[in-house]
Amino acid sequence: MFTLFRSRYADLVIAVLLFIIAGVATWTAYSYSRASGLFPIFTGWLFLALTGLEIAVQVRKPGHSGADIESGSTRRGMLVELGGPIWLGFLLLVVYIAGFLVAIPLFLFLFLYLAAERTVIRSAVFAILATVLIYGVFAGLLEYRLFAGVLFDT
Amino acid sequence: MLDSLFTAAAYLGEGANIAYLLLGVAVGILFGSIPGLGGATAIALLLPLTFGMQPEQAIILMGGIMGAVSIGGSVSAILLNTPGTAPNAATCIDGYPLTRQGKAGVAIGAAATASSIGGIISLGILVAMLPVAKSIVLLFGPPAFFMLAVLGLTSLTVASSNLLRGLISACVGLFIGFIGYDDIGGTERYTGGIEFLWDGVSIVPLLIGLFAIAEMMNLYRTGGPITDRATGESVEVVGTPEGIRSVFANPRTLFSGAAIGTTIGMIPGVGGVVASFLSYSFVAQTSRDNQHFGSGDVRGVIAPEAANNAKDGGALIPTLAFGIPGSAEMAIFLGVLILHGIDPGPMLLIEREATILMLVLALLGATIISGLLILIGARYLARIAHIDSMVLIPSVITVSLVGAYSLHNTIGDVFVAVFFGLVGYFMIRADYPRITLIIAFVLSGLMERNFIQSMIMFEGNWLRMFGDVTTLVLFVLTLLALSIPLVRYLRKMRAA
Repeated sequence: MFTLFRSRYADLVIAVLLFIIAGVATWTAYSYSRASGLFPIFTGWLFLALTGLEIAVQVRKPGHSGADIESGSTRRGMLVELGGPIWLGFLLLVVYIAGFLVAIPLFLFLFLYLAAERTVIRSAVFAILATVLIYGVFAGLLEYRLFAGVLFDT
Repeated sequence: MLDSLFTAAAYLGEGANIAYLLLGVAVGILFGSIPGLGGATAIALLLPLTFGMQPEQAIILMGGIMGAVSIGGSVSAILLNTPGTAPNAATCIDGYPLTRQGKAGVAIGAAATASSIGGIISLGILVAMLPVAKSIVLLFGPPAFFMLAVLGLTSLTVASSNLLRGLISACVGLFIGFIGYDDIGGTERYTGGIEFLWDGVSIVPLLIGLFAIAEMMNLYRTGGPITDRATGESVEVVGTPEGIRSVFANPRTLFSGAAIGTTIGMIPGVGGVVASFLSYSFVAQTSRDNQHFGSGDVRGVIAPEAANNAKDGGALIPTLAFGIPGSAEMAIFLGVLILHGIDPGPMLLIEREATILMLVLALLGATIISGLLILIGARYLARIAHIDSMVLIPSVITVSLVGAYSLHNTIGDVFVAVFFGLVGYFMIRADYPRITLIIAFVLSGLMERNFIQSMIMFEGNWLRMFGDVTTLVLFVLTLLALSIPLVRYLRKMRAA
């Protein structure tokens, strides 16, 4: 089955990305005052050396052939791989716009109905009960004020 | 110490505190018995509930979780051949064959009793070692503290699946720790001009993201029920008294397991999996009549379970005395202490003896209570592992985000939790260990402070750090730890 992280050159790409991050972080550390930059510079060079070594390991590693990718299952595999992050992104967006009170039941309902393939009624009942429980504990019992969203926040 | 012990016992005995302990135990058993969740996720998820609590109450709640998780994990290992937590894997070897022979109750009785007694023994060792640890800790100056943190981080990395990637993750963790306003140099570092980051990345959303959210996204990828083994309903859990008796009939197995667990627990990074398997193989190799190991010998359940629970007492020694956690659970627990204004390290042992003893008592209580609960309700617990992950995932994710927001009532923390959830998920998928990142993050402040102090002490000449014998010994140990994978590789090459 296709997996994004077992695909061609994935390990190498990650290593190169980390090397770039290490370079930027080390270069930035030189702009700080002596006391503030001393340890980040020390760590930064170590970081660069380690990521450089990882790149060398990945370049020398055999098997970057992509033979493990089955083209027919690529799209489905991609969806499974990135499904979690997509759902999480959706929840974050709704929380930011409309707040927890709207986001929680909406996310629970849609997730159960679409991803877990529950019936409309079961999804709705679970979404409502879970929202009541979460609000009961956090807002009721612990008296935390939950985010109302940029639309409703006064 | 006796005064502190009575103070701790009296505080723990108050009604609300007992309720917190029981809540911790219930959550610990629940998360322990569901494969793939475990103690780190449970503590990360419950962390936001402690914001309004007294520090001691938070410690009791967390103690309840830590004391109960490993016992909870033994149930699914025995009944379903699916370890609730990774260290319970060794229990499957003989626990599941006992279930197949209709002796599930014997295995559960033995596991719960061995686990409880193992935990009690290790806590006894912890209490006995505290006065010694106090005097040892005071011998450590800034260079030795810095090198100790390096040793802790290195040995943890060596124990991870990939040394190089473990070290890279540790560097990432240190850099995340640098984010924010630096008090020493008076400089704002790596904030990208975002005002929210001036106070640095908060440990709570970081933990929630890396553990709770990342685990849920990985569970989404794998999908389906968490285990598809035969249901607990069909398993007869009878013979628990026989299991309990078998622990007392095998004192050598019990004590060797507890001793191995405590010792291994003290070494950062080695962890419960090594402790339980080492204990199992020690007993299997040194026992007479060892032909039944692997096919349903009750000693094969006692040994790993005693070691598994005993490791927590051992792991608390470096965590509390030096502020250097040896496992993900301990790193998160350290986060709980820091969040509640308790600085781990030498002064904690001197100034807050009662608090430490309360943690010990909470762990003790949790170990005993969870053992009893398992004996009563094991067959029902086995059913928990059949929860559909598709119901679990949205529930845990929503609670995680609400929890992240509750820390400072700021949406920025929710973004941080989501960001690190994604980072954690990609780390799981790309095989970069998360534990070294989190422990490096926790240690970054301690490491930088002691590094700077050492540089000031030795006027910038870092080579003079090795003039201190303790530092030199720790440095040699670090090099030895780093050489282990190399030696292993060379041996493998020679054998090939």
